[in-house]
Amino acid sequence: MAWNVKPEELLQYDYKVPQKNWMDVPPEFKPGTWCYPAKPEILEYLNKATKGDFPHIREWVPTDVDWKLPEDWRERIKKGFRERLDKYRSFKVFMDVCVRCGACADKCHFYIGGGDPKNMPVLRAELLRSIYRGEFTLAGKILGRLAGARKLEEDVVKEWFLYFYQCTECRRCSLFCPYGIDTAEITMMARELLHLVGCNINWILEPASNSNRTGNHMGIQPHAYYGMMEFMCDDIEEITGVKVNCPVNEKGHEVLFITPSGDIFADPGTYTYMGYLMLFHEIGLDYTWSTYASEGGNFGLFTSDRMMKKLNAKMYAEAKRLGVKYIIGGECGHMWRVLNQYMDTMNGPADFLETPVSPITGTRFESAAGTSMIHITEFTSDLMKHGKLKLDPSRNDDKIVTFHDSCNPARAMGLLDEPRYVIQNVCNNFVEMPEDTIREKTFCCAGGSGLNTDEFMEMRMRGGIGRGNALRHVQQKNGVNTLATICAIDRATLPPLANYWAPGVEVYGVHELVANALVMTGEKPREVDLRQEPLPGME
Amino acid sequence: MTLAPLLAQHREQILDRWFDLIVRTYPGLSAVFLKKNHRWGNPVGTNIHGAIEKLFDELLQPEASNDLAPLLDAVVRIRAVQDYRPSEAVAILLFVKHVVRERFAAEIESGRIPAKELHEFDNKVDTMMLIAFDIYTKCRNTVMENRLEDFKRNFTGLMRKHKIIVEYPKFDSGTSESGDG
Repeated sequence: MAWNVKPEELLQYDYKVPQKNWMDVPPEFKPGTWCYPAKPEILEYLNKATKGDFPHIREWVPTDVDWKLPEDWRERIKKGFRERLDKYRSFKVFMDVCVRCGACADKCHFYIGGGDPKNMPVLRAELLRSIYRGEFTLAGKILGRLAGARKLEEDVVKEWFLYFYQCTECRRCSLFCPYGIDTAEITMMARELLHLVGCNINWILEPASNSNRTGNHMGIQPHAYYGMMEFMCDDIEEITGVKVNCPVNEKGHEVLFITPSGDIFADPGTYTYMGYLMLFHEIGLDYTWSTYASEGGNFGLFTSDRMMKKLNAKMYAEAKRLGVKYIIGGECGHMWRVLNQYMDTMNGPADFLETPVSPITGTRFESAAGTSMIHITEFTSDLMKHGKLKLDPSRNDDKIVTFHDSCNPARAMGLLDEPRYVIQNVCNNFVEMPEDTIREKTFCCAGGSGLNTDEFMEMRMRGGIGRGNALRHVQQKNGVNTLATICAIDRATLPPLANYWAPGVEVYGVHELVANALVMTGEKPREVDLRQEPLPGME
Repeated sequence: MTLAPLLAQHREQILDRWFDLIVRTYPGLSAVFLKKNHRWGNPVGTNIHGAIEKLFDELLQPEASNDLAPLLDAVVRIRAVQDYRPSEAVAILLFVKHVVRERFAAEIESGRIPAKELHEFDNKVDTMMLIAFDIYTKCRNTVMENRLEDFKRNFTGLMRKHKIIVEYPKFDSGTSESGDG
């Protein structure tokens, strides 16, 4: 190489500009931008458990030229594509209706942070649409590229794998689409097609497999789950002096409580879990936990409709077995998309359950009449509205709190005000992030839809800039040091995001903040918070 | 005639050119998007633009202020997690040298801008570059730490239960000129 880069060379620093049509740019698998493929033993189990939904099991690496696709891979995908077009009217409409207006183009966090054109939702969907046109429409078959069509080649499969596992199904783009195209459902279809030829990722399928086997993503067995709960109860007693009750797998209670299993092992979710235990004990809720339905999350949503249905069904099977009247769901993100948008027509209506009625306030939650399942912040905000909790928000006075709307509760459920109401009842210092980054327009944590794995950290940080930028702003302007959220994936993904983009901001579940402020009957003077750190004034 | 008043006088044009060159390092269509003045929708463009404006003003001062490192941090933190080699990530800071040479080619050629002043200007940019190198390294280190922490976080509750966790206060590597931002 030449010693000196000449100024004019630097000034023509434009090699990044693609000179080719996007169809001619092959996918590049760089470290940190893709997740590891599923392990064969996981697939063997899942394939057996689903009677053949996960065929063509093998070891393969995305960076290899040869992906060892099945010989008839083309036919498998075409057949699967056709089946899905026939099965889902919505999918066919999404394939046909896009006018490529570009309203969604700059709304994806991965595009915003990285600038890869194929991360523009419109172009990501085009990866699929071009095949739809080329293989299923007359115009596409005759006119080819002129009609935006192309043929199914191996590079297309690789491209799908790269970019549909670079979509977090957050649906921020859908919010801006004039036709309301649900980009998450396009990604779901692409992932289903990829399963047909044995291309999938371990971070989604291992939790799905665990959930099918032990009832939760972590693969925790009942005794271990219960052991962990007891440990938490001991911690709670140490902090508050109150021995909380911990009903598990008990029949005949009014309520079944289900929350993500991520919260039982992983900090800071563990503190949120303790918060639930404390709240339910304090109000004397007639409820039980379950070690079988010990997972609110549903990685089936990121896998296939059948897997989603199967994993969702276990919650209801357990509710039926235990004979409860309704279910309260914990702080989880995508569980609420499954519940609010699919459950009713998938496994529902849950006619053996009742419309939830709060035993403390008498409030009837009509909105949950079909699913018989309410969100914990709906339940808690109702308690607060009726003044049923004794709270001391000054215990959270060392925190200047902001709230990250999790994509699914916000956009797939419209749960926007309840968590804020709860936070404002237990924290004296609350600040909103800028309007364009919250509520329906919230930015994804960049690790949703099963991409919250460490090998994907590069993309997570890149895609995290939208949220990070807003967080950094309120950190600098208002001194925000606490980021509250109501999603277990967020509690796992936001700590690294904050550590990179707004170092010094700590992540909290909303019910951890509730439990800090909750004045319990018979409690000793509290000196520390749930993290065993001194409360304000006790340092 | 000396360099400083010229730089001040041509501030907008220099910044436009500098930013334009930076934008060219992003794939095709992004160029349009990155120039949108939308603080929350376009964090890459607005943060980098905001930072180089202030960095340029720093370059005009005889002494750098305490803002220098945080400003560089704003640029480098973004570039460090984008699809660039380390040299590409920080090279955009060097562009300003070449923009200045391009803009004042005639004045430099004729000797109307003293070589000493040009040399001083280059030195300031080089200093920025060295600080940027430190920040880049720290950013990459944070990404790797995040990976490690992410892996451990899955089991932290369990580790606390079995008392197999040892917590040390975070090692403080000091701030000074290397700048944590």
